[in-house]
Amino acid sequence: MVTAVSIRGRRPVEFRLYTATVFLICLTGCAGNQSYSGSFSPALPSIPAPPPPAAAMSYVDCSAATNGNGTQSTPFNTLTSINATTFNPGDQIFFKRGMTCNGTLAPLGSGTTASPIVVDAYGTGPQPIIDGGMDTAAVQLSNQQGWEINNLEIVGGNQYGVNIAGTAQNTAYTHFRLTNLNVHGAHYTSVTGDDSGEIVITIGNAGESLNDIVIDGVQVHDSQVYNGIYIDAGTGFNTPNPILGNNITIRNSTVYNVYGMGMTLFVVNNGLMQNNVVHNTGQCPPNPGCGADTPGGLMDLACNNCMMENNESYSIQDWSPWDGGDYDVDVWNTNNTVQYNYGHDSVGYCVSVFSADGVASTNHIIRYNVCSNDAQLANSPDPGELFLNTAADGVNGSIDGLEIYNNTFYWNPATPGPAFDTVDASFSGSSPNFFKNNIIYSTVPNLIETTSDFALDNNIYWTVGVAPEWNINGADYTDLASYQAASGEDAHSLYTDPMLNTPDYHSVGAPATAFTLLPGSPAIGAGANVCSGIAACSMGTQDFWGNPLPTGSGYNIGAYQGP
Amino acid sequence: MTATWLRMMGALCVAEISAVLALTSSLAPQPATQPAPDFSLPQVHGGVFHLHGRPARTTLLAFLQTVPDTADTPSRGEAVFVLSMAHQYGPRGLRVAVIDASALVNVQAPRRDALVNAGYDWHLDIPLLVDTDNRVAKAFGITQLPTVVLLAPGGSISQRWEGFTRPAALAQGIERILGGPLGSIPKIR
Repeated sequence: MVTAVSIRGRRPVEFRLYTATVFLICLTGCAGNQSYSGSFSPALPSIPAPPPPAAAMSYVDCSAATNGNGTQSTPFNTLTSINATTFNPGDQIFFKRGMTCNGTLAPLGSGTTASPIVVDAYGTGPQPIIDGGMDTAAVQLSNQQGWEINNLEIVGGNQYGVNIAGTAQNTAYTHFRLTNLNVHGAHYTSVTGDDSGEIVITIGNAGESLNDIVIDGVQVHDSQVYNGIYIDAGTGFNTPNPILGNNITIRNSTVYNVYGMGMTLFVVNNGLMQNNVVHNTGQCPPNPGCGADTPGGLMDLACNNCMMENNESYSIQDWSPWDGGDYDVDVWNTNNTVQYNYGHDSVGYCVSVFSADGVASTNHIIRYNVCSNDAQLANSPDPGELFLNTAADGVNGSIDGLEIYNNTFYWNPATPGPAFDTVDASFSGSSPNFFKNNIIYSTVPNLIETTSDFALDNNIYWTVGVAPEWNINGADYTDLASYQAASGEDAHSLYTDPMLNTPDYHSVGAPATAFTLLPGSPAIGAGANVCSGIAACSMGTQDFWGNPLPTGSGYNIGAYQGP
Repeated sequence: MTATWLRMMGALCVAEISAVLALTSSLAPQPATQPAPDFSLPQVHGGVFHLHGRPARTTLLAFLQTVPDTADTPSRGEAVFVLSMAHQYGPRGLRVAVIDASALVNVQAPRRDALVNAGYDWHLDIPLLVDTDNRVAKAFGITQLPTVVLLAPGGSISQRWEGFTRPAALAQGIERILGGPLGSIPKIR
């Protein structure tokens, strides 16, 4: 909320005041009654450092009849004056609530982390609207940093709603905040891939990076561009010395009704996607389609130490036969965690892990997620609630370290296939790969299709109305005992009704009692300590519902660890 | 005196005592399972919200810091969850409201126009209530933000969550009152 404050003195006035002050100090010091012995060496008064220039506040009211000088009483009435101004750290730009400015907002200048340039709203009422129309973007920052953009509705743009781009080599751009924005209606005459989006923050030249970005409370929706929110924060991801952008967060935000991907973090170190809802992405019409890209809900790509947690993704659509899943740990990732998420009713998988290009995808954790009724595309080449593939680009990569535990899957695909599918995955290295303490509740026979590269144990499998089937190392087994004896896997697992509360729940909104364990469930206390014997391993602190975990033993199988 | 008259007088006494308790209880914190203090508060976008309205409804009250609305606080995330509860369970009769309690953590109570703007900026399509002098927050014993309180249709406090609370936990409490999850028929075992 902005209170009425008049514009402070500008730099030339302040300089003149400073000069006069120094002169007065000199006069006062020089007139003092002091005695000296020896040679005269009067002590000069220390010259105080000049005060920083006062932050400028600029006001814009595009509904005003005449253009003013940017004060609150006489605001600018177009974006032209704002776009012609180079702003300084600490400056603020205010748009009046309840009005619309047409064109691109493209102010110049950079702030700092400590003194960002802030764009916000003033007055009372609905958010001000920036309508980019057929301009390339509604909001554009180029080779700038230190900006915070709050409380605006951003409409249109022919390629972007908000575009923050860096093109200067060897430059680290730092500090961006997008808060409480409503971004929608961007359109692109040629949607050919990931070159358009409602919020696109990207760099692309050698040595560049984006750092310290938080997108919070943003709604992105109803768009004819590819990406909802796309952040490409680094460079050289496929080189020995990549430069990753640091500390990127998308939280409390919603993306829906966009043509391609919901949220993407690309070339990031320390990335977080948390408390978001993504649905009905992949809406690109099949003819002519949107190029070779494949849509999805949330995706990490070339991401180190990245996490997706407490998100809901559902009804992801797809014009191509690939992907269309909820949570995608894509290629070139290391140390990713996918936990406490709910995925459902999408045409593709719930969770995927990919690799390619001779690179090992390393040390990922997938735990305490609830996945329900995905793989709704008939004959999908990427089947499974949980799907692994290490030849994503036609050149094999591998997986070295993938821990999948304490998840609950309701498997009800459009075409029968395995719920847990690793048949297209290769493994390398010595980090543990295991599938433990999970529940697969299936309406089709196919439960798993995997290899001995994975350790499986303490799982509960159940089929309703059909006989079960396990496939390991290319061989099918129709009873648990034969599968266990032949493979040596799942020694402590069960084929039994896990006694879940409403196991076929797949509605919008986090399941409350659905997928919890009924009294007497065989899953209670039957889970393993999956970290036993693994250094620096922790099973976390809570389950999907926020219940605290047991300590050391007594784990349930599945995502529910409550009483 | 007949037994019937005695019962009537007893009922009247109980009613009067209850009314007094309702007044005095408005000054004391309300633990879970106790009757919730009745209140009527203005909504920032117009109208008045009556807690104990008719018909009686399951109600979720979220005490949040809404001002400044760009602050990185747990209340911001909790607002997202509370809103999702409204969308998920509103068709089944759940009533949800946000009570601004910013003055509990800020130096000054927020201005009315700041609350109006917070409603727009947080995309709230549920009532945002103005609690002048934190009267209702104090009556509910709110000491930290966010705090979410679930009230049964009879007016009693069914559950109370202090601090950042995830939607699954909120939904569990709501379903204990509304009964059964959405979207499927509970299996009988």
